[in-house]
Amino acid sequence: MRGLLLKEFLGIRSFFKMYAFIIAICIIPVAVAQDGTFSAGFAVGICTFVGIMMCFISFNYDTGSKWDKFVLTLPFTREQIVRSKYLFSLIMVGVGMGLGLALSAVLAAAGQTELDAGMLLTAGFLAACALLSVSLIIPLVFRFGVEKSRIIVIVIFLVPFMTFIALAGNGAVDGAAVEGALPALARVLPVCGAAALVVSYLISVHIYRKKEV
Amino acid sequence: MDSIIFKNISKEYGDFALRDVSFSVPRGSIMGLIGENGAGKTTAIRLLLNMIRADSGTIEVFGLDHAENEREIKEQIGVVMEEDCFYESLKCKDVAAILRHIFKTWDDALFRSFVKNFGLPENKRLKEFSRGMKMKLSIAAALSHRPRLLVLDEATSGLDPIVRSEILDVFLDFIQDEEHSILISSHITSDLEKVADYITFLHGGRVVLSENKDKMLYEYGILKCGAGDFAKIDAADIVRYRKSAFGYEALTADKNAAARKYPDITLDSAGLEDVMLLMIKGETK
Repeated sequence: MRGLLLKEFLGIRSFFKMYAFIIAICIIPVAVAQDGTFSAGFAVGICTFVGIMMCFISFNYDTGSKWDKFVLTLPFTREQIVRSKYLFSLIMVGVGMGLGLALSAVLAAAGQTELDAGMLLTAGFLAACALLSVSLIIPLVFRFGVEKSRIIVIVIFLVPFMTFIALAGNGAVDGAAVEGALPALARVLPVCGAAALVVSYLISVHIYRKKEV
Repeated sequence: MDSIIFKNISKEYGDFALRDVSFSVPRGSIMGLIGENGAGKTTAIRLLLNMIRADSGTIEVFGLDHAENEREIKEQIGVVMEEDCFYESLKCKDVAAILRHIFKTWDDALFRSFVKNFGLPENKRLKEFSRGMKMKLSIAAALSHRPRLLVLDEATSGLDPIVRSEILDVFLDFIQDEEHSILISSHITSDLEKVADYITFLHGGRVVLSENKDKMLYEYGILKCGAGDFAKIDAADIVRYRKSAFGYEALTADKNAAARKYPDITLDSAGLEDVMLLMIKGETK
């Protein structure tokens, strides 16, 4: 399994340069604000999102290079191949969040933002969203391939988001109630994310065991 | 002892089926799998590697069930697919670093010697490699964990004759060890004529013949004649025949008997390509 993970990191190392670009993007609003009102959660959110995207990129590279076929000629069980994808995705999400938090800490030290309880709440939400995203993306890719899954994931994320925006625009969403539910959600969502990850892994193993490549 | 045994393997897709395929690859030999595109060569190899599952039949590798002992078997197999399968951003040393962590028996020194002998650039990324270089790298990677069995799916197609010749020499070196075997699928029959010990010919998902290559080339022949002489040839003496603007070409499975029986008809030796063409395009008398 170490070989599979090493392949992932060596293969996408050029993408790590992208993080430098992302960090630069995060700094632009700081420079614009110049008054310490920059939200630290923005940097963490962007870096975590890139971490989630690494999961897609890895599958995309596998398909493009035909590694997805070649890996089945190597001495791995199909469970190990699935497990390596989950491990890699979780590591990349962790790296993304870690970078985002580190950047926020640097900005806070420079007096450009604040690391408060709200920031930790945001990080908790982002971690839960990342777990749910990975749980959704991996079995979809194993089942439908990268291209179809990308469209399915966009639809799954966009539809509820747009519905919420539309409802909020019509005044149908009680802002105070949503804000009141946030602390409870912050406790429940990470548990849901972890549970989803376990279920997702089992589904992926089931799909991949039957898959003919 | 056989390295590979296919026993009555069948696999059905919507528009294609591999039916009742049986053949074996004796240890210490090279088996060439020939047939036109879509004959079932790649399907047979994917079944062997458990990438797809057979509907019926069994496959044994090194005397073990290929699915039940998959990991143990794959530790001892080197596989080269038609396309290179490594990320284009990698270099030779990256490929070695990955495979070192995958195969218990990986030999870095052996890999380096292949890279050097093949003249592969160590500091270039694979995206800068030519097709020949990529294929040589795939072969170096497949051989550097010292496998007992090499499986190649159309590995020489699209390569120039010089590179193909270099690669065939590597296969012949590999087979010097009597414990080693090679299963190679190709539609470049001239390559297989040079190196293969046995030939299995697939057509339409079925095994048309599976024989010792030398015996096959020794026994098969082509009778070339006009319509008058062709009418005199017994149907039982002809496997397949083809009519062209220049006359008839009839494939016989017993060249010596045909020479005695039809001394006035021109009789040529049959190459693998002739056998393949007549089996596929020819008619029965």
